[in-house]
Amino acid sequence: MNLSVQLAPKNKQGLLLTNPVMTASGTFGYGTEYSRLFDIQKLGAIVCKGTTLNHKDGNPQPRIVETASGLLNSIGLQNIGVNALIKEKAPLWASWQVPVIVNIAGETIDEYARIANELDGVAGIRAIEVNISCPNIKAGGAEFGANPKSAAEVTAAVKTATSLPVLVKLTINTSDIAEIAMAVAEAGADAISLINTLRGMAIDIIMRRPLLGNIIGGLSGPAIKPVALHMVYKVAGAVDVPVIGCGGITTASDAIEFIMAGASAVQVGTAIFTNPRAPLDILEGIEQFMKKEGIEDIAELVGAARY
Amino acid sequence: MSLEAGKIAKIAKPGQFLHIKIDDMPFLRRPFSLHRMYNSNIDIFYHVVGKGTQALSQKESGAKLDILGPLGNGFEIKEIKNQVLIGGGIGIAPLFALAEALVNTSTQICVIIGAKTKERLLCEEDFAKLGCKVQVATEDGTGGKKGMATDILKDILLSLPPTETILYSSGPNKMLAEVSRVANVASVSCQISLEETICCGVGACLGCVVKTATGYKRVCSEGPVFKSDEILLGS
Repeated sequence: MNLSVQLAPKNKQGLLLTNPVMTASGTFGYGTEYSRLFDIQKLGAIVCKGTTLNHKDGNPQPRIVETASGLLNSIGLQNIGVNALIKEKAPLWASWQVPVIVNIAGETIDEYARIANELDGVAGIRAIEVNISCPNIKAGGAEFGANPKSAAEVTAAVKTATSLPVLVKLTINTSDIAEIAMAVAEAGADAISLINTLRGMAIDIIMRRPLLGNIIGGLSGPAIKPVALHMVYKVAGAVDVPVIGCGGITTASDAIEFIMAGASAVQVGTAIFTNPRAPLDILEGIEQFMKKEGIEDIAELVGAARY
Repeated sequence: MSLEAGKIAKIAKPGQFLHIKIDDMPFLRRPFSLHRMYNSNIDIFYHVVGKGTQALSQKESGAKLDILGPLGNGFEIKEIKNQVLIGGGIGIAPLFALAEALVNTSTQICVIIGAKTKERLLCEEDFAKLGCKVQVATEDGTGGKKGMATDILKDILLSLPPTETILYSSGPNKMLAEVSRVANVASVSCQISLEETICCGVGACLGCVVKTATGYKRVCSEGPVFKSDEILLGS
């Protein structure tokens, strides 16, 4: 049975995954946090916490609110910064079998390019995921992902700054996601991942104030899955680069739905908080499904439900 | 509630916590401090306050639970002559496991329990049975001294030499802030156990942070027990 997927066919280095199950940025730390709970080397890839040029403190508390079948977060990209990441995290990743992809976020196009440039050629880093979709920061983030022109500019700048494969992660807090996806692919993105969280909020009716310290946050979890699936379906039909599906994936059948909608790989995020082994359970479930359905190559399933 | 969890009980330390998946709904796991540990059992102690604890309280004897743990850093036990434990409300829960660990050391254990009313005073007899010197305070004066547990703490610390005294506390943030302040004034070493909404439980999601003198720290993995002088409560 062949589960491997190539996520950057046009890139010299390529991004070959042994299987299509990845972890979503922000939900899996730097990978090390989960390594004592299960064999993380079996994963297709790990996408690390969103990384900025300098370290970032993040947003005030509270940062987490549970909602119906979902989770609102307003972490605000708290992270150690790109230099600390290269010094403290990458050396360990270099000894790992599982590829690590670094998610990056900037406040300006120049910042994105500088971070990408710092990461270029660093052992242990296999690709970059450009975050133009974080709803939780004041400057940058989703601003760049909201219109095709700036999304393409960020993508082009990052591509120029690094020879690593470049994934671009999109927001759906925009008017036409297919248009953004096409602009990003045109600008050289090797693959597109979607979706990031949806903007949302919750209110404490006794205290009469928003529950999140940042007032608004990003909604994730099973609640957003149908929306994410539709967006993946839409984008996969608009671009010819690989699409990575993300948004509320909790079970193997969820993951297979995304693959059938046109995703070459999937990212598991919020489900990990409830079940840390969720990515592996999903991988095993995909294998069982393929066995049962007599499918030899995962590629046969990609886009299988497209009409 | 008593849980049979041999593997966890073997390595768990007072102050650490268990992250329990109660049902498919609610969605996130819920953290519970270790209240008592004996043989392969761990007791947790909680009030029903929301959907999670409500669902947990409905579990039948013998039901299986998905438990992640032990997580976090527990209390750092030091064999200092005078051990003072101060807990408010349900915050008393982890202090009992700590007291059980301390009774094996040659120290004097003094426990101060605070609550709003007499009905809410918890574990008074259990601590006494262990051989701890117990004092209680209630806000409405229905049990023990009328006032706050920290009022008793102030009196006790007056009679104890700071270098031979250590303080451990768990309870509402308002109380912990006052305990930290009192400890600081008295120059007594103090550890506090913080309560937060815990999401991943392993330090990955950065949801449960607390402000410290050196930036945000994760309650789940760098805590839940912290040295009181590094935490900036209520800011």
